[in-house]
Amino acid sequence: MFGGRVERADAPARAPVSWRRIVSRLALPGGFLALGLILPAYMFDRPLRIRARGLGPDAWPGVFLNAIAVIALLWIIAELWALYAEGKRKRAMPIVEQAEAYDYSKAAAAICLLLAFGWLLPTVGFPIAATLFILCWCFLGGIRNPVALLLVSLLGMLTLLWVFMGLALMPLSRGTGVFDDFSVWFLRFVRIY
Amino acid sequence: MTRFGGMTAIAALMAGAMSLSGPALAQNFPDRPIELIVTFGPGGGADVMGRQLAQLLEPELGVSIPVTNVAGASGNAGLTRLSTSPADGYTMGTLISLTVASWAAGIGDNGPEDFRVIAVVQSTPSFLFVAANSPFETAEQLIEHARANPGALTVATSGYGTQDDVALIVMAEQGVDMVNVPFSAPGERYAAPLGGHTDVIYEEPGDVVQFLESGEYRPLLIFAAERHPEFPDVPTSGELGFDMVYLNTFRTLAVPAATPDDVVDRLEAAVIAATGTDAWQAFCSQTYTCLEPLTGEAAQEEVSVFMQAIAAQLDD
Amino acid sequence: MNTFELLGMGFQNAFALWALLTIVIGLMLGVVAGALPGVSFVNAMAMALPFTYSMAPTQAMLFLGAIYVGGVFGGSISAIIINVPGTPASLPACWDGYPMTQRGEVRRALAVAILASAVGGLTSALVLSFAAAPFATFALRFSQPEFFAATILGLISVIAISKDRPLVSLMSLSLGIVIGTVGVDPIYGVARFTFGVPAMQSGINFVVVMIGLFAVSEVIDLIATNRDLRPSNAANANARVRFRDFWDVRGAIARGSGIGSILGVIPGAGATPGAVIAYGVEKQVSRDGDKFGTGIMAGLAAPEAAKNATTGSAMVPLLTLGIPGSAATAIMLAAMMLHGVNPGPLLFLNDPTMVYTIFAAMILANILMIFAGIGVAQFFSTLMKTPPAVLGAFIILLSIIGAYGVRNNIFDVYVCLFFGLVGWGMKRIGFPTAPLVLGVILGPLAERYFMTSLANYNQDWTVFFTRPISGTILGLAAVFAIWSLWPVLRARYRSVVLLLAGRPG
Repeated sequence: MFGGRVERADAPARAPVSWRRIVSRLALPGGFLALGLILPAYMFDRPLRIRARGLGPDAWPGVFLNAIAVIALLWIIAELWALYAEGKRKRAMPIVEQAEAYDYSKAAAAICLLLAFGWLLPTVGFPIAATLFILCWCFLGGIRNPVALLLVSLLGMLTLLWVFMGLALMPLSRGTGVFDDFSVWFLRFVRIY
Repeated sequence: MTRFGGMTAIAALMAGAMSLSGPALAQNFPDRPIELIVTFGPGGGADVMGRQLAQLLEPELGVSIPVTNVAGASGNAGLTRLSTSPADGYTMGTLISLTVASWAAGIGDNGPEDFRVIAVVQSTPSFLFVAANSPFETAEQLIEHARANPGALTVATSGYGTQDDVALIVMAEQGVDMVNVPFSAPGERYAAPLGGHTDVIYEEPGDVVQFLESGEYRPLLIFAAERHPEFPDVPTSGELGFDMVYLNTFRTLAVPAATPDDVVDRLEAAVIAATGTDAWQAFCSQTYTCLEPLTGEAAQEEVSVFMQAIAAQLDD
Repeated sequence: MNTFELLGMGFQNAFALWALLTIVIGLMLGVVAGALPGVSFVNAMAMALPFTYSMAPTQAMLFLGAIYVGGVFGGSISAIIINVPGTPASLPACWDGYPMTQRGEVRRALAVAILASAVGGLTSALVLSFAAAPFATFALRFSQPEFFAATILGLISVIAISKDRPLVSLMSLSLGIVIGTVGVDPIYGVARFTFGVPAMQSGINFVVVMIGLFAVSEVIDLIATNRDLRPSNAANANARVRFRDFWDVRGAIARGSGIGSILGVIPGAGATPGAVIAYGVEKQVSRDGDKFGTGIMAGLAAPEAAKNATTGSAMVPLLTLGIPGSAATAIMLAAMMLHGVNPGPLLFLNDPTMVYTIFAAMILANILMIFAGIGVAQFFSTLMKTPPAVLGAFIILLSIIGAYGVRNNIFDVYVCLFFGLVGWGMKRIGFPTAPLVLGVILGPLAERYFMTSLANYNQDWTVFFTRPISGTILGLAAVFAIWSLWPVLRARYRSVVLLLAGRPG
């Protein structure tokens, strides 16, 4: 991120520091600086209706938002310093290479699947959502045998239902409307209710 | 948030659909488990009350009553879940004075009109206690010292904007100015007078039974209209010349406001029966919270009066 | 009767069949509940509470005590195997335990964790038996400024955990502290950072943040890299458990046990700060300190010992003073009160049999925990043989159930998923997550202690330095910070000087 890497740079390269590099290295601390400056204004939804005593409810988070801004500023200075030193030494930073192949499209698919699950869970209820989720995730993970997929997702969902709704008496979502009716029927069918 | 808004709307529609089939439903109510939402985490006063009551209600209602702790936002997270549940009596929740006080401070998106209070099952006046080694033997000594030295004495309370705070503010307005030291963790609050960190503690007796029985706490003053039968020697705030509304700590059982009358009646009867059992009597006398359960209008009234009293102080 | 005679009598009672059975069942329940993310041992104890109504008071306490002991350990099983801390206190177990699993040394990691936990718990149970009374009076002298100082010490240990990049760690920590302030504030009862969304008033729960940051993000990586978590059996000679391992970490276990036993007595400090501070201290003391985080056994043993060492000592203020320092001990207090037993100094006079049976049972439970722990760990580690895709799907579902189960609040599921994505992003760009989690855990505590201290001492902030115990702890924190930062400061100073001098470094 900054600092440490400079000492390790020993490639005899030359390239002057490009604007793109400067922007990419300042984006994160810049974002934090903005966060630290903007968020104090959004601390409360409505005007406070309390008697003034002590430091008030805004003191503690205020201090740490200021801290974020100050640290971000120091960070920016450190980055600029490092870039300056880099340019002066006429050396480019070594590109941090990935240790292992990272499949970003798969990661993106996984994230979409997670969001879809979060959105579906309260609507269709845990039994249906979990079955679909296990099915899709295993498919994404490279399991293509349809029998295995069905068995894993159905048995897995049943096990989770039994442990958490049956034994631990946790009120997992049953969904709304017709899905609630289905979940109640299903829970009675597997003798949890 | 639109998503939550949507969920609320769907739940409300469902509640409406269910209440259409209300009369048939109430005939054989209840015929499946009733969920009891405890609006605080495990281990606290509301939790112990909820679990005790659930256990005693099960034989009365003939169905199991699983307890769910839904904590967060001073109890409002659980209440939101309650108020958006179908109003069919299959979901009950605990509604306690702390949450009502939070409404007055603008927390939560619920209000007294969103709930039907089945019964106020526990209600207890609060006391001022000092540690056994305190120099103050009587309430008069304490008050005299506080009058002479405004702002010198410290009182451990549960926070600003609570009924504890309101009582101290009213006392300060009448010349007895003591400093409110908010301790939101109960364990630390109880330890404060014992360790000599605060001079006084504002507390209900049921939560500090262990210190009362061992004699480590000395009760000085009770905030109530009459003396407490268990503490006949402790003077009331009225006897000492304070003019204030008495804000008891109370715990109630509530259902969503749209719950049909006959279902509420059935639950009310069960609660009255459950609180009449020996097990409940043993529990409530242990915690100094016995009372004839308040039901119907009187219960509803208790909640709104409490909220107005707190709000009046905050608006000053 | 002296302590030994009383303890002997206690052991007689604890070895009765009913007592032994109660302890074993409680332990198994506790370990399993602890190992399942989201079903914390506090939940398990609350659910067990109604079952204790029909028991005798002593039996009820043995049952709850056993769940407590088992549960505090159980959290580390899932931390080591799948990088999901089953309980907050198992957070440090992820840092050095999970890397061992990644190297295929899962059995070794579990063995060290079980042994360290048992030794820590045993130490603490002995402390409880012999030093309850003096410890309790000492703990009473701790007021809010002292708690604040202890929390600051915990926060400072962040610097020790990632000392090469202090600025980034501090940023992560500050972010965590701000995240911890979302929701209703504990002193004024005002909602902060809710942006008009009522559900946000519930606040951001640290367990949920932790599950999202560690578990969910890890599983996304798992699917994107096709990495295999299956232990590479025979190929790895390090995979086997050796007795030398235990001997090598004896120092770490001893230090962890000491730190945990002392911190456990303080109401409110508890297992999580205990484990984190023990990790920080061990990182400084150990010869391999700079390799911590890559699967070093001492880094696993110290916090493991520390967190279980808080179990026995947390019962000191409960039994001697009637002060519950944590949710777990609050449930025990409730159980005692429901049976008409009032803990406090009088309990030792009125019912020494009960008190010493509890002491003996705590000692016994920590020994039996080795077997219960091995049993459950064995079962969990066979799960590792499933294909990574299947394992990943179940880790996600367990995480979501876990996040939901903390408060049965659907909002927490969204928070968990959100932090899963954030954690994934942070990992991709190399932004440290551990300080953020510590900030979310310890930040709200620090704020509460700070505000209450000021209210209690006339808004005078010098109180933190002038009170002897709090001043000492803050002094220690400062020494600790400089000690951790010294190598970095020196290196930086040199490079800055060289740079200003215009010479290539």
